[in-house]
Amino acid sequence: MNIAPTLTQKKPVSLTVLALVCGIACIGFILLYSAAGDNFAPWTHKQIIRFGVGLVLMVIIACVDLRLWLSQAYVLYGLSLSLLIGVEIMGRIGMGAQRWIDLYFFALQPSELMKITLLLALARYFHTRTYKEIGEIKNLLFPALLIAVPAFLVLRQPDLGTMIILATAGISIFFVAGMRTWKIITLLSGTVLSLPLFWMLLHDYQKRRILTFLDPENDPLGAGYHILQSKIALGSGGFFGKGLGKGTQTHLNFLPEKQTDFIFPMLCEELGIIAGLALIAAYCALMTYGFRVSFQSRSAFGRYLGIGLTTLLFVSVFINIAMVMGLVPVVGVPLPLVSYGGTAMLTFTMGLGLLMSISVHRDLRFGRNR
Amino acid sequence: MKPKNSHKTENRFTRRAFIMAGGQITLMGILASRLFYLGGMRSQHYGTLAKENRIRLRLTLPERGFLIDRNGRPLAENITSHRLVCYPGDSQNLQEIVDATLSLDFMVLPASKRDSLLMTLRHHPRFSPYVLKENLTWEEICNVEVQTAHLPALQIEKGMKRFYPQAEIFSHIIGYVQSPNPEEVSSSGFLRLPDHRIGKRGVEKSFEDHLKGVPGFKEIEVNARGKLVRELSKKPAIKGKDQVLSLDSSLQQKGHDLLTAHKSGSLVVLDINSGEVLALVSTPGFNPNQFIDGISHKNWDFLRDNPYAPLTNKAIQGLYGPGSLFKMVVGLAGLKAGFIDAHKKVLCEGYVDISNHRYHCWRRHGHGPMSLIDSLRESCDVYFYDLARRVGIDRIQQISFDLGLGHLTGIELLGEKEGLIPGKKWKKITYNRDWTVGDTVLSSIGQGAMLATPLQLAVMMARLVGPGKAITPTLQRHPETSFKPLAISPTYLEQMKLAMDDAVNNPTGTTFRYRIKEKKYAMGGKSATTQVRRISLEERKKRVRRNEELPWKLRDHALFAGYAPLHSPRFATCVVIEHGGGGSRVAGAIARDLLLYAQQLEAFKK
Repeated sequence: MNIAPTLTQKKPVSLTVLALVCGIACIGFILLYSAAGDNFAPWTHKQIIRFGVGLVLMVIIACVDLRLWLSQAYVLYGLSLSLLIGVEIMGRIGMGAQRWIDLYFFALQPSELMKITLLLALARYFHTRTYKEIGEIKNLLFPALLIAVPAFLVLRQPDLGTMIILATAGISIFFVAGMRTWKIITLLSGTVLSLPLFWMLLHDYQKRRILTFLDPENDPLGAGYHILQSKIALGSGGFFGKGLGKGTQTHLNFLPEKQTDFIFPMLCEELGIIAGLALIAAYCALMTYGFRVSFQSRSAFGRYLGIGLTTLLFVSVFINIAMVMGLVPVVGVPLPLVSYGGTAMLTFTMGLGLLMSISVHRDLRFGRNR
Repeated sequence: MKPKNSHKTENRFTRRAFIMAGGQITLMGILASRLFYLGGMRSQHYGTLAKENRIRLRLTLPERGFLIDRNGRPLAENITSHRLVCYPGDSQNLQEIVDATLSLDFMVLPASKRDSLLMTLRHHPRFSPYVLKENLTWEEICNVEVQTAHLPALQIEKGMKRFYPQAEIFSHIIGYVQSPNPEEVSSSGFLRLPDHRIGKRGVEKSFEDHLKGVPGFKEIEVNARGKLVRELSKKPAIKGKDQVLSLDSSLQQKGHDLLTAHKSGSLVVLDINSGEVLALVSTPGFNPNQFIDGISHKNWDFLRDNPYAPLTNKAIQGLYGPGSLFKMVVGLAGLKAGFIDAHKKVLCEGYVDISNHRYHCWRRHGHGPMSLIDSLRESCDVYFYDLARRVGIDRIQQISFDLGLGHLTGIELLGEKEGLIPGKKWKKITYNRDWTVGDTVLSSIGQGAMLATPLQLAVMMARLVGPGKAITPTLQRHPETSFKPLAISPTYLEQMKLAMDDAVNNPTGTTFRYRIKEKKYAMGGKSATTQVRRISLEERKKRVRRNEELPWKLRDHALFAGYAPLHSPRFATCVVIEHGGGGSRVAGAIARDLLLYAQQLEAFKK
């Protein structure tokens, strides 16, 4: 460590961003309240508590010195990787899809934790490498493994959505860290060529979903039914919606999983596309904040982590909304901060807390000591 | 620390981070514009789809109009029926439901069907009723209520069912209703509802549009599983109109009773002035109530294979040679053509030779000298052989048509037969041969190719003795028709009437023994006994076999057409007993009882 941090190098937590996050979460509360037929049970009350916990966690993380995360990055990564392997082993015993560890008071999804810790580990790795080192292919093998191992484990769960998010967010750090252009092109074409192999790893229902996405008319009453009903919900609300609690698609159960993956169509049906566009704008604002934080950070770790976290947010939002619009296959990705779900809420509040931490410690300079 | 490289890293980072930020914001923009397209530009389309999702139109059936006879007695009505239904979708424990159902004493099923009932219920569409038993009695309803009150999936539902209170008496004429077949469903625009029935036969079919009514509908909101959430709007069904028919139940019943003494026959009673059909019976008949919910194979086979053809309405579909009934037609043709007057006599020697062929009279040794009146009274054949030969077939054919033979009468029933009055043109077309005098001679006594239905013969009788109008038969009460006048002089018709009076009431008349003895109710008419086999020369030489010696199928048909009362006639009738034997003895006796009963009913009402 070259330069000791001083208190003057810390910047305050942005209240605007805090308000924005709370606003987005509130949209979620309102929708969950409506989805339950104007009831706090069974979703809203839990969601509010989780968000409260997440909010506190977010502020605490924002204030913790960024170098703590840098130093503990590999430890945290190793911890979540072992949890992921643990889930895999327990899943084998329990049969079928196993994505969480039951902690009695809380069902922890290690794959969600992995999203954050993977980015920490990658940011740390590239933080400690010079431009020249990054140019050498042997130095890219380790970070590639950092992504590949959890991605493979998550895909086996099977959770295609999380796997794509992990890979995309991880690769974004490769990209901004200065990986050479020709290597990126090679990687892309390699990915395309390995698609058939990847196809074989997929479960039948995942294959069916992709086929349905490619040709929805093929199966209008099966998997295509959900996409169609989701589009009807999105489209039928018009500009101002049918009113809270009056969405027919939602309340007559035409819309599947309205409290989790398909909460966005519910928003558009009940409150109109005005509300939908506003939410998209809010996410764009958060992303802009993330990019600004990354540009402003004086440390490579902060920059890479910022880009990774922003991309994580973007990919999650994009896959969810594009999925409910029928633009990409249904892969089961929740909408950040809005969908009902404990671990996802924790992931994004923690992620945003890290972004804020980067912002708070943006003037902090630290070198690439290993 | 390598400042140069560090600088390079930062530059590259800035460039690439900008590319990523731009890319990501652009993709978010694509989402926003897609959302704008779906919810802004296509919202009407998706709004409609959302409505179609949740709103279902349920048709409600109208009640079918009643059929009522001229005295207000119901011929077809609707009764409430109760049925036991199961809504399998409402229940988790189907086994319990099946057990409870089978514990009802009227739901006895063999062990093999018990398992299949469970399977059927399991695969039955959710929330639509499965009918376990139709037509519950009150006792059975009580049983269900007491024993299965704890199972909401089992319910008793009310439905409307067509019922024919007089069953077999009106079988052919009223017909019946049945579930429509697939083509009928699509052409009538009705949805397939379990209670929906349409007329398949008889008046039920021909008055279908009048009786069926207008369906109503309910607009209901359903959830994704199709379960009713609430009713949105409702338009009640409009009951079909009742139809009053010209028929008289009492007379129909009487006719049916008279006919059932014989194996197979039919009769028609017409109101001479209005053309209203008062009775139209064909025996044997069938019970139309058996058809409503689909007739069983056993019953259907029984009806179809019955040699006496219970499914045929013989009054409009049975074709018979009119026999001696046709002599009035030939007589009228002679009078109209001016070849004869009513009193000029012809000698009957028992046969006549015409163009190298000998034609026999039914009385072997002849009638002696005969006038037109005499020959009609005693039904002398030779007189009409001679007359027909002179008048020619064309004139005879014309009078036949005027009297309603050889054409559909136009009664409101489907499947009516046209009959046949042969002529020169017909023979040329059918056999490519020229008409011969022999054909004319054979036609003069209503034999040969000539065919008519009992209804046509009743119409002929009504036209002969009526007020000189070409009346047509109808099943409607108070028909609004003005009939065309007949192209036959009333004087000639009067002479025919006198002859038919004589044939019944003169001691030498063929039907004298079967006359109505009460003067004010006396009837007139003409009998006919028509051969259904050829009598060979050999048999004629030895002895013509009596009907009783022949198998049923070869016996003569017995026909009688008559009217009553003698002065200003009100009723015309035609009775046909298939293979019944003597026209007067069998058909004449029935006509006598029938016409007497009709007049007594009339008198009783006054």
